Amino acid sequence: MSTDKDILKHIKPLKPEMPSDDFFSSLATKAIRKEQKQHENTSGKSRIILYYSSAIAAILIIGIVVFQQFSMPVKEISTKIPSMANVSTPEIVEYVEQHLENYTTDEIIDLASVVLDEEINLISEENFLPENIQFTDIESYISEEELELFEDYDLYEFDENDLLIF
Amino acid sequence: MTDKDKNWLDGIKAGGSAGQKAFEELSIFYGPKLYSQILKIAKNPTLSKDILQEVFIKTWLHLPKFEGRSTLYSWLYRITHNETLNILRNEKKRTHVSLSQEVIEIIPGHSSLEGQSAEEILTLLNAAVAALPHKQAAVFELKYFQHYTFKEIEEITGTSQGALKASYHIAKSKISSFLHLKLNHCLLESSKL
Repeated sequence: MSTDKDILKHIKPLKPEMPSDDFFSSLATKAIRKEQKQHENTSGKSRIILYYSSAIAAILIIGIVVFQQFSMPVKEISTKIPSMANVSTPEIVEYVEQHLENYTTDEIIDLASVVLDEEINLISEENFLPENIQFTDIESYISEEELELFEDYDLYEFDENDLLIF
Repeated sequence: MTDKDKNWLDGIKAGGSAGQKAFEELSIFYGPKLYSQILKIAKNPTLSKDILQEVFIKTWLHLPKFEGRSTLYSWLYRITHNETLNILRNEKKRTHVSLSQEVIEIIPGHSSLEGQSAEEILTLLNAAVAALPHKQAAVFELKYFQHYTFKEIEEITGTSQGALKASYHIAKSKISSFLHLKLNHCLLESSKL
């Protein structure tokens, strides 16, 4: 039995069965086509990413524009609403009369409590009290109610503003 | 680099239909050599064809960057070796690839080879070749496995026959030592059992 160093003499490489010549001649064409396809796929992916990016950008732009529209200063908005100054007083009165039933009692009281400056100016010492009420009536009312507190005071000494504190 | 290689490279770098034609000629010339190299490791003809296709895709992609510092064959040999190992690693992970092709035959009469299967010897042989420098491995591949003469290898690689003979001798010596070492180690281990 051989033990020499040339072990390779005892290992015989077999001649492999080779593919047909067509296989080798088509290798280059297939490789070029496959590489181009891979390149196109990569380009396709890039294109999809580009589409998504554009869509996101468009949504952001629309969002910003809409946000700006809604956050417009009040002054700018009010110019677009028809001015109440153009509506005449009779028209307003007519409208209120027609739609009076639509208001609650509280709403009417709230609206009535708004006193215009002109109305305030009309109030004077002479017409402060309604015409049918006299000061004597008030004095008798107070005495009836036993408001002793005011006995020592002359009601005429009270200032109008003092009386309006409550 | 041989004149043939230079013409192909110039054609490929020029691009267009001339480039494609040059690449086709290169594939026909180197394809069979690289296929044998792959088959020795993959041991499966179908898988070897797929690997070779991938090798040529890589070659087509990278050939314009080839600077010619090594011979075209040793460059292709290296790409083929790496690509084969990468694909086999992935394929073996995915499926159990049937490795059916007989690549070597054991001729009886050597004590170290007794009791070893051809499959085991081939695994060791592949490991020994992989441990060689690429140029030596490429020469060994063409001479030992593919039975090319030194004259033919000179035409393929553009290296003188003298240099090729020296390379082959060194490669053979390293591989023999590797096999002796591994096989004797195996024998020692089995005798202990």
